[in-house]
Amino acid sequence: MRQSEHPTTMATRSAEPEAMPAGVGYVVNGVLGLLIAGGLYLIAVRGEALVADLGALVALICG
Amino acid sequence: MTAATSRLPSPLWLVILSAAAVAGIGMGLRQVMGLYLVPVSTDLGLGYAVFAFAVAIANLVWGFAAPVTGIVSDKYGTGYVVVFGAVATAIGILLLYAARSEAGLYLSGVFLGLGVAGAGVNAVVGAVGRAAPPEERTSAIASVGMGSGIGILIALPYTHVLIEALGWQTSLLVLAATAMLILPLAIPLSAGPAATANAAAAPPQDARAALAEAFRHPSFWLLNAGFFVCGFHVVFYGTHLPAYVASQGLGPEVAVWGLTVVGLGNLIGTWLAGQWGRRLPKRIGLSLIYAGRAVVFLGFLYLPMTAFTVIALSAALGLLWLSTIPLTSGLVATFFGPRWMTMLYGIVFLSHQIGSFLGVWLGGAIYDRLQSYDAMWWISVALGVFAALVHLPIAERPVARMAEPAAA
Repeated sequence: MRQSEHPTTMATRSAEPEAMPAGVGYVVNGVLGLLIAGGLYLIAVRGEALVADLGALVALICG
Repeated sequence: MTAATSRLPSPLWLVILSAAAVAGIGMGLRQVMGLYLVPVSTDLGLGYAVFAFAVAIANLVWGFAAPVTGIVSDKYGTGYVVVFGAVATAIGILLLYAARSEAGLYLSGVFLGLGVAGAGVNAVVGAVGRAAPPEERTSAIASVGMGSGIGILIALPYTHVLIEALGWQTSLLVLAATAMLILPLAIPLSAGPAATANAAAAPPQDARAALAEAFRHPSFWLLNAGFFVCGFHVVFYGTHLPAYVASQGLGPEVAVWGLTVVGLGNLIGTWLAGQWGRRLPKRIGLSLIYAGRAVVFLGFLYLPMTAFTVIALSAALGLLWLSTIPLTSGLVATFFGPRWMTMLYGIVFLSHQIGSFLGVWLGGAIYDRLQSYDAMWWISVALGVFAALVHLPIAERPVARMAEPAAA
């Protein structure tokens, strides 16, 4: 593959990076919000079982 | 594949988004392996120690492979390394799925370690560091750190549900498929080393010369010492908090919420560190982070331990958790430029992994001997003060070579 540099693109990027399109930003934030909220809900309702299952590894390390 | 490989660079926001998603998936998948200890060991009729050793192998392979994947990433483009990491992770998970013996589990550990070395946060910092202009570099890497933090935070509860709903073996197939989601994310990260926001800013340098230069640079060693402490602190706390909480007579829900607020605080702290690095000296930021950790660990020695204090101290520690990543990797780029950033950060990361190993092992060894974590808190305080001090004399400026004209 041939080395190719793009001085115009580089110069533009260096001066002012292109912003994320607003639509993409909404989708990304929405998906992340749902994932985090779901994760926190699961931790709230099943956190103790989670720690109990991980506890075997901790117990092994701690002797 | 040639060292000069390059393609039209993607927009910076797409590079950051892809790198953050890669780090989130890669680090999340690494995080969940502890959940498989009991079901895998029970079904295969092996002792827990075999699986724990496979996890230890994965962590060691990760640490030692990080500089190597860094060389490939810096020389040929991060996309190749990310594809390798995704495939190695999927192979490691499938080997765990198919394991019938100790050897199968150990081999799985090797591939999982290689996988996270190729598709973890360490593997993508260079791509982001090269794509971002210098003034935005630390905040761009902070976004990747936040992606990694989100992956770590949510992977455990989702995988726990998967194991319960599908059984451990089928859940591993879902995880292997999840690893494959990384593949398309490699495309925006495939721009070669020529695609650097300030590509012409420094004279060319090969990997050997970059290593020699870094090893001769005192500030690089100070950074290594500090990141060793970071690894010691975070893995000790993350691993031993449930046992500490139990030793204080508190319920397991306190550890659950303690670790959860660490994860949430980490997102805020990493963002703050990225903003700090845009304007203020990174070495001072790191010094404050480690000094802050020392203060938090003193809290575990002198405050009455209640559910509130454990959760409040965990929240404070979360703010100081992986906020070290953007500042530490940013300093590597400040010293040597972004050309060999992944490789050099991989070496700093190796010292982090050695610290991690010592933190988790020493915590167990000291608790076994003394039936108390007090000595570990004191060691953590002392290391926090040490790390705060070693960052102060760091010369936060480019090495002399960077000031030479590119044509020299």
